[in-house]
Amino acid sequence: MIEAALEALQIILQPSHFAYLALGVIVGIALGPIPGVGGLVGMTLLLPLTYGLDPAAGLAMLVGVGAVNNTSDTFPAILLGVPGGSGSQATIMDGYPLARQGQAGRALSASFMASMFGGLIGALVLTLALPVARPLILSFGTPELLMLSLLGLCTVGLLSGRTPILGLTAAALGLLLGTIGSAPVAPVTRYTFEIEYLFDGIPLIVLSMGLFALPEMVDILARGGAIATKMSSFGSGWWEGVKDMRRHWWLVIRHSVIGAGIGAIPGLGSSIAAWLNYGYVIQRAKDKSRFGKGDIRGVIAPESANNAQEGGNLIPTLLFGVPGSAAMAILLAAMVVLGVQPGPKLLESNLSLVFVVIWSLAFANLMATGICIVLCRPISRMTLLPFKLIFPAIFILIVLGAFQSTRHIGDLVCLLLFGLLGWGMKRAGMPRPPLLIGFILAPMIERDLWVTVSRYDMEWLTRPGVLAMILLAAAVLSFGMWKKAAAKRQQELRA
Amino acid sequence: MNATPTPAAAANAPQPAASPFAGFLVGFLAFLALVFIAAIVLAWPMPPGARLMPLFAACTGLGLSLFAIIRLLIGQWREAQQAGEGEASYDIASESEPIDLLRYGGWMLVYIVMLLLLGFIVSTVVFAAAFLRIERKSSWLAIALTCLLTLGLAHLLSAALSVQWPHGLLLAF
Repeated sequence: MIEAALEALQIILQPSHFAYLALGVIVGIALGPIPGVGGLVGMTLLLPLTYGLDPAAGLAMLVGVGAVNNTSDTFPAILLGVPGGSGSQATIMDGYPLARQGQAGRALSASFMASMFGGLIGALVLTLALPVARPLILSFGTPELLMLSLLGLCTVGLLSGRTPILGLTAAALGLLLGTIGSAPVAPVTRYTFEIEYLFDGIPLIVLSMGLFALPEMVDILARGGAIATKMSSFGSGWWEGVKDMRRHWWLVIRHSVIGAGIGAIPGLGSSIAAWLNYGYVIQRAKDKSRFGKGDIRGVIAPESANNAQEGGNLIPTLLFGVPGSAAMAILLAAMVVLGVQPGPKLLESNLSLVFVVIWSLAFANLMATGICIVLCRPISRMTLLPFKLIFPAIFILIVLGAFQSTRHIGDLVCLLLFGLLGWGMKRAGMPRPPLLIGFILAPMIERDLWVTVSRYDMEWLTRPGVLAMILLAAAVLSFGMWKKAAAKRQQELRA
Repeated sequence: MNATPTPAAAANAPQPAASPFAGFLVGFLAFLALVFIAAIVLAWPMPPGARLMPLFAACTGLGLSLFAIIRLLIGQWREAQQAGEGEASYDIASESEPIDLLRYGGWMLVYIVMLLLLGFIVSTVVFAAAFLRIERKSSWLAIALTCLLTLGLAHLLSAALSVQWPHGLLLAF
């Protein structure tokens, strides 16, 4: 194994291979900040270039695009409160308030460093997973996957701070919205009202931009002035971010490992990885009062996780030929084009190529962090511009990004409708993240629920994996209730 | 030593102001409850495989929203809010009023309607110019620069990434 790793390192350090990796990284960084245009578009864009390439060079280039997208999409999330990609949605919660307090440099530098270490740890997890992942992943049946999704949903709902009922209601609404369109297990359409646009369901990009970006814009426009309400020295902010990383090094390791684990489960993706880690960091924190108002831990946790999940995502892709996400499906297509057969045999026949992917992941993260740090200072100055001056350009870009989902007028109508829903939820104090997570998990939960109920009847509830997850859910619930009761007791004592 | 307040003292103690959004929240939850009821009614005639998930989501949502409304109406919410003080907020707090939504949401709506009628280029120029002139009193030079930069960026995205623009009913560009 070590020989294969060293051989792969030699391959990737060849100037031509390194140049292809750098091209992928640059394309990934350039596309990351554009809302609605993410790593998937970048990989699709570069896929034709892989024809005729050496497999190692082609894979390095595509891994370069996918690996760094979650690093550069942080720019609009922190500076404008607009998610550049699905992985940066959770970063908005604390990154954007920090930018408004004049600490954009601190938030960005902490985020880039967390992303870098997250990516490196993700690559390490992928390396360590090679001999042990196969039996573990194969032990997960449909009932376990269903329980895992429900557990994730309950955790996010219950972690919705002081309003768990509202969080769970929002998650239920997300699940319901996720059922719009053609039913996967019966030949009918649901809640489409004969509108052709809805037959394929609501696009995730449209929902997330409407829900998060538009209400933020209305708020900033109503407040007036620039995004940053306080001016600060960018230089000190930058070093503060680095110090934050040193201070919270344990968070980086913990959330990177969790993120990589979530990435290894097909279908969960960077958004779920980031949100679950955001929820978890809140739950574990002693002082939770700053979360949602600008706590650097709320930036470090999701950013570590969303980059690490790329490493985890490669586990089912490379080891079983099962793509964990749409971007991994493109990577699989590229592997087929390059004449590489992914799956268990790849480990036996071409282990050095697997290590090329791992090294590419590590180098891409290092390169992306360097480039983003150079760009950090000039881009952060955007937060000092009067928002009314840049609003038309940003809104037009959001509209263009949303329109790329299906290139149908319905994208624009839905964008406005979800903007209205997001504003209403924000004003009512109802957390929006659980809705998004419910929406993302809906197709998976529906498929797993149907398969589980029709194939296992009630017997699935007695499976050891399911029982373990039910116990885990009960433990999370009990722990949350116990903490609430303890806080209440303490408050009564103080009174 | 901390003393536990008597019921009478607790009753006379100044109560914290109710959340300014509590009324809005009740209305919003009632709206969601209606949405969940409509979803159940619409899902009922579907085949079993198709209705399983919508019914699961809508029934859960209806139960939770009604429970939240009842809690709000019987006044336990304030207590819950107090108990939760110091906890994390899972979302960014709202800073705008309905009038702001009408004003700035109106601009967004006007732009989308213009796009559907006049196409991308004309709508973008008219929207950017009108917004900057009316809302910010920008100079014509700043307006021209903003329009040029925005259209330039859109052209770049279109050429490099095949990003498509919406076509209008009256103008196709």
